[in-house]
Amino acid sequence: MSNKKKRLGGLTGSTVFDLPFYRVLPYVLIPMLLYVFSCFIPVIGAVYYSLNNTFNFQFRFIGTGNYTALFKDPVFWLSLKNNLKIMMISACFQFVPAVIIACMMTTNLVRGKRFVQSMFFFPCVVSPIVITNVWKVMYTMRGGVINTFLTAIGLQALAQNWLADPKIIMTTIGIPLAWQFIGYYLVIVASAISNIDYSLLEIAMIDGATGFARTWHIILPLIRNTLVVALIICISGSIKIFDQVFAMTSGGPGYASSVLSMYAYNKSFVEGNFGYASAISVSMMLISFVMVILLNVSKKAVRNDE
Amino acid sequence: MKRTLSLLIAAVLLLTLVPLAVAEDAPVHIRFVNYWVKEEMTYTYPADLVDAYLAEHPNVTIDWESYSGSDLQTVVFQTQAAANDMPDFFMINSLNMRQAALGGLLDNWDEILASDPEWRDSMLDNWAETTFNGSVYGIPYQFITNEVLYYNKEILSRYGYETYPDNWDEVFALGEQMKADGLVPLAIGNADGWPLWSHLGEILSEYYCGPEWVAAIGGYAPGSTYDTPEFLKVVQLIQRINAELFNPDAVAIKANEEVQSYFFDEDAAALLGGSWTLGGLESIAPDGFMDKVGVAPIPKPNDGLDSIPSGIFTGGSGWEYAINTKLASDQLQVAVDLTKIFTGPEFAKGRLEEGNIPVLKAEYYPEVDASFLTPQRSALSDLISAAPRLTLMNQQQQGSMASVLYKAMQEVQVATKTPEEAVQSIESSYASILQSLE
Repeated sequence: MSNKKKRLGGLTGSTVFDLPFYRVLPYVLIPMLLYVFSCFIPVIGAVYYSLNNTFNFQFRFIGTGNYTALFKDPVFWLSLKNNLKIMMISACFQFVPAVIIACMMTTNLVRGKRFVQSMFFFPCVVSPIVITNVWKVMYTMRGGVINTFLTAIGLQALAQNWLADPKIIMTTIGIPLAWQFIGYYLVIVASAISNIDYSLLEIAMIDGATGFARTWHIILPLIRNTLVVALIICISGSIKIFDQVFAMTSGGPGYASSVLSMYAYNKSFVEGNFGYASAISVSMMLISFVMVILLNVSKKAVRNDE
Repeated sequence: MKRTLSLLIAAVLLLTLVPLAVAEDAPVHIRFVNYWVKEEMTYTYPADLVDAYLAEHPNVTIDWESYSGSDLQTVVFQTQAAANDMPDFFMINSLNMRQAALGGLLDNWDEILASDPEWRDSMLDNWAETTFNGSVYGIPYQFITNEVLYYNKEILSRYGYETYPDNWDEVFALGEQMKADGLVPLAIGNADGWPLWSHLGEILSEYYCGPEWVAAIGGYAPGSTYDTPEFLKVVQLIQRINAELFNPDAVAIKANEEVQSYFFDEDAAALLGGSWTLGGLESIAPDGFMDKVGVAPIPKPNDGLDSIPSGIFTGGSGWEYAINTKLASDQLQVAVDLTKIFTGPEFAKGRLEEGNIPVLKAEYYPEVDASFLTPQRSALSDLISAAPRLTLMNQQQQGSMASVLYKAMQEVQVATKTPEEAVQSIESSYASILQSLE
């Protein structure tokens, strides 16, 4: 083994690794530094800000004062509850339908699979702000598509102010979200299914397994890791959701559709209370972290049961 | 020896003149942040006046940085302020003045104003809006009021009214008849939260609580509180107006055009707005519609304070010109020159032609094409001039209270909070701000 190879711990076999360490270092450092500057330092900054009172743009250290206030803040809990509602809507109406459609695409029930996949994926490539504004037009009370349609078919009693009722506002926001992102999870799940050895499914078919049995006993166990990753994306996306809520309702009416990121935005950019907003952001990070850990723990528990 | 000495002195004198000569032409660069997005300006007089200034001062360069008003007020300002990276010269929203001035981000104009009393006297007396701890931190940009009622004269005359009623009891009685006929008595779009507070909440606070209370609460005076029976009346009246007079989708309408369609389609008898709403109405109203439009002040509640007469307005600038504390003297001079241009006769002419009230006093106005003065503009101007009382707007919204008040009004609108609960929630936020300021 040459000296160069020894320096890289024997990781050779390609010309890429047959380089002195100092020549590789910049390529490793650039992404690391980017990560440190764009992710790590802002997180540290947010934690530091969250320990300060920032009224009048002057920093005064108050320890955990912002967190204590946060725990007593009903709007924070309402926003978290709304995030959890979005998460449930996303899991039930984005993730589950995507898995069902992807599994159906392995059968002969769906024809023109590529076309179907493209049609579902199309809304994902459109900006969320554009999608939200399109749906706002649909929801408009006076002359909106939905109310006009309901009136046209004689169901004017169901026509209502879709963006003003606190009882339904999260569902109203969740519908375009589900419509937009089914395709995203569909592509992820379908690509995982395409990696399954097709002979396994063929053998199951020869043995007389139904489509449901093949899905339940072969497809889902084999794509379990992908499903977990997709769920993690779904959960983290629901916790950090902002643009759709901002464009649709700005968190209103009142705080009825406020979510954590919207609340943090208002606290920082409208009220100038950066310390409190940072405390909300740090809490969001911790909540996401806890949820991902819970998901991984449950994944391991399921595996151990098996 | 004498000759040598004379030559030496002459040389020294000449050398001392060199920096002066250089200073006259020394390049001056200034970063000017504003909400005049050139590509979107219908009236280009601000940019034209700056271009003319630059032509006269070739050594000056201006980094013209524009944002939409809402972005400038929120994300842009807050980010720059938090990073202590304020522009050299900028427009600042009145709601941000308190935090920025008390946070040491703005330089005061005291010496500059004192050195040119004629300039100071040429402007309307809006100074209280920008004065903190006895110093002036912003030069007013305009005069606006947020409380104007635009009504359809034809619709009102059908119900026997020539002008809009001046008290709410009469308005409610009229509203009942209008609703029976399928009309919306009063249109507003309050998805952003601020219109309801700005068009109604503030003036009702004046009527019920009095200007002294408004000033104390806006100034975060120790001992001031929202938890008063008078302020509760404000919120209760807003709740009643919302239930009995507003369009049913008021809390969901964001765009002005959307709510104005009620008015233009003659489905609504009246529209709540500010003095600045008039220009927009005139520009998009259907042909002949503006002939039917009358303007009126916000009616007085019958159980309001006796000391406050009906027909009052609150007014102010809404935006001010401010300067950074870190300006060099030559940059400061450019900022002052520009501010004098923006508060001068040519700028005032542009404002008037645009349908707005300039900060320059009327006696300093240049000649303006009379065709710009529509009947509604004249009527509004007369109403404001004849108002028995004109107090400062935006007092209660300074600092962090704006979004608290806006959200509370929306919560009352959609009945997630009763007026009593809304007052408690506002008071709770206010008390915590007071505590933080201690």
